[in-house]
Amino acid sequence: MLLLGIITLVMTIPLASTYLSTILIHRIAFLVLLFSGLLTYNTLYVTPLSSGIGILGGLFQTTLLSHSLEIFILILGSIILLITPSDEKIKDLNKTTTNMFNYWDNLVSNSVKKFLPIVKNNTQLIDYPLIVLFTTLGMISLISSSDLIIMFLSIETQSFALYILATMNRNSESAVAAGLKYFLLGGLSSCFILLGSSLIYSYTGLTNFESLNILQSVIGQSFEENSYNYLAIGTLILTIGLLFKIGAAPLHSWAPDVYDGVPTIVTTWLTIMPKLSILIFFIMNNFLIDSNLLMISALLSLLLGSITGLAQYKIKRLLAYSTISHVGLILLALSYDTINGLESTLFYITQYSITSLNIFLILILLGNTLDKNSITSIYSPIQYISQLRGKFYYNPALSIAFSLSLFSMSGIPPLIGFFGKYFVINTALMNGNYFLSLVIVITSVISTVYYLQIIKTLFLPDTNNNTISISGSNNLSPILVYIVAILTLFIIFFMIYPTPILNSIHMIATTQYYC
Amino acid sequence: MNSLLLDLLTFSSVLSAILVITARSPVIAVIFLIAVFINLAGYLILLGINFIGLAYIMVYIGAIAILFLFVIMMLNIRLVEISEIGNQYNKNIPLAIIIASVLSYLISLNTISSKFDQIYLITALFDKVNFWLAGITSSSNSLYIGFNSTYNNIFVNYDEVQVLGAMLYSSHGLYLVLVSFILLLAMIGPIIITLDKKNSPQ
Repeated sequence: MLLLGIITLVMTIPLASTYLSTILIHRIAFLVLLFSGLLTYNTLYVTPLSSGIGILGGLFQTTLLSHSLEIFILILGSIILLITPSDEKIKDLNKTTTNMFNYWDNLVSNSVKKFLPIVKNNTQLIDYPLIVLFTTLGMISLISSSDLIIMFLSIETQSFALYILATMNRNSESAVAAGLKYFLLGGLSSCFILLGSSLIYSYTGLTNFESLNILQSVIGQSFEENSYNYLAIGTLILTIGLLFKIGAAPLHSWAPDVYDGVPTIVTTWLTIMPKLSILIFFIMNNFLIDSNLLMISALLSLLLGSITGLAQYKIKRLLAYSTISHVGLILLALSYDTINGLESTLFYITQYSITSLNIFLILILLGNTLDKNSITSIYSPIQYISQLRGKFYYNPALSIAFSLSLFSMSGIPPLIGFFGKYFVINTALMNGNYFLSLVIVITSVISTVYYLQIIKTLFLPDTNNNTISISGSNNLSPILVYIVAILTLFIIFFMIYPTPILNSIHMIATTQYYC
Repeated sequence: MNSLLLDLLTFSSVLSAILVITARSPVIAVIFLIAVFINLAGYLILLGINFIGLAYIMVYIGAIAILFLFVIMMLNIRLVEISEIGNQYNKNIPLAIIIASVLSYLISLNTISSKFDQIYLITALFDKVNFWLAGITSSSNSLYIGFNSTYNNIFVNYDEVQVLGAMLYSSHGLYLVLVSFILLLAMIGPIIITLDKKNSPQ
């Protein structure tokens, strides 16, 4: 389905972009993703899935874990695709149509006026959904890959599309610089991955993960006597390459620059999705990764992410640093090879991606309320934290949702983020790692400072009037508002009825260990 | 004899790879890049991997390196700018030291249980890579899991291209599918990035 969607879009975009609107293409891609999610859901209840099957000649593997997380990825991706980049164009269209700010009416009017070249397309981001579909293809084949070569190829598909995504807004110098930086450093990390996998291959002669796992468990003891052990070096270098890709410290230095430079929509995609797939890859093949390295990386990411985040004044840089510290938490939970660790990792990934998606959606919505003359760039209207000043008085509901999800990020009790942190700390304590759990507590206090700083700015009275309050929140796109509402309610009310999520995560984790 | 030649080729390819990034003039850098490719192709051919070695010469030297030279001639970059930009990155050296020390600590943690001996590690690394790739050995190792091309050739004698084709088009056909998508993306990506729709006709 995904392949079909990509091929269709590849055909469609050059042919029809003169009279198809950007929104329409976005919606098609959204439907493609949602449908692929549905197809995956249909095959979720196949009986042998719980023990895991290798498909397509053993080059891929599917388990219950990979399947359910695939559904999660697809749904999350489709939500991100709902953000249409061209608000300018919507307004242009609304001048011609009578209806105010209604997407579906736009669609209808477009299909009626199909043969008139009415649409002044926002040409920059029209190809965005196509590239997004390519990355999704890479991500999905990565999480179920069962072979070193397939792993490398799917990582390349994913990150190559991401480089293009980052460079897409080529009129802005910062986006191009960010894309180039991402490309060069991503290429470097791909070199690490290749070096690691070729070391593994040259030592064992195997590329299949299953055979590697069997080999490692059989001869694992005799590794100790060997003075040098290439399987370990290979996996170590492979892990370093993958950590580079998810931007964990000390290999994080590209992340803030890239996230800051690219348009906000692309940042939303970049912060959430590629991390998700690589982390799930870590979970699926945890014999390939080195838990010592993960712990060191987790410690450094926690410290760096929370302390250097204090000095930031640009909001996307700050969110990038907060991402780094959250990645540290996930890696910490991941480094314990127990069922508890797996559960807390899964829960943290789920809650973190939902919360951060909510934050970015609100950021985009708030960016739409800014005065069009005062902003520097169309695609990333809110760049500085100071631009959020006084937003509470213009749009109270959105600001409250924003501060709630920031509170959830910092782990204030009734919200969902608290439970994620609680599970991680619980895992660390149960495995006797008191030092790292102390570090988690301290760094989350430190990182609360910068979250609170954003919230403080949000609620301060506005001094310089750079906002026009045209009839409240009317100029926000309704779908995004609904999604923000649903996600925020989910964040708040998780504690009242937590059983479905916790139970399903527990079930997934159990099948991963005991079947 | 063969082993000496291989070591020589490895050494000169690493040396010219270093010279690629330290050369001041871009043209000289590209010439060193060609030298790297030639060394690697020689290495591969000596190992008996003739097809990929020849493909290296044809594709990398014949097409890509020449394209590089052509682009550099067209671009006419001023040398001063490049070296000035290069100096800015020296401030990242502490981070590099941290990363390198963490990495080497981890490698030593994994590899040498009792003694900490870096030089031994590195020579052993080259030794082992040579051994598993070419069957050239100097060290003794009880674990013998890798493949050995000489034994494989005794049983079945395929041509290399035949082997590659048989693998790629039968059991590992999925590689081709994924690679084709990457290539499609590589074709679309530059078009998206560089196509200027405002100035194009229509």
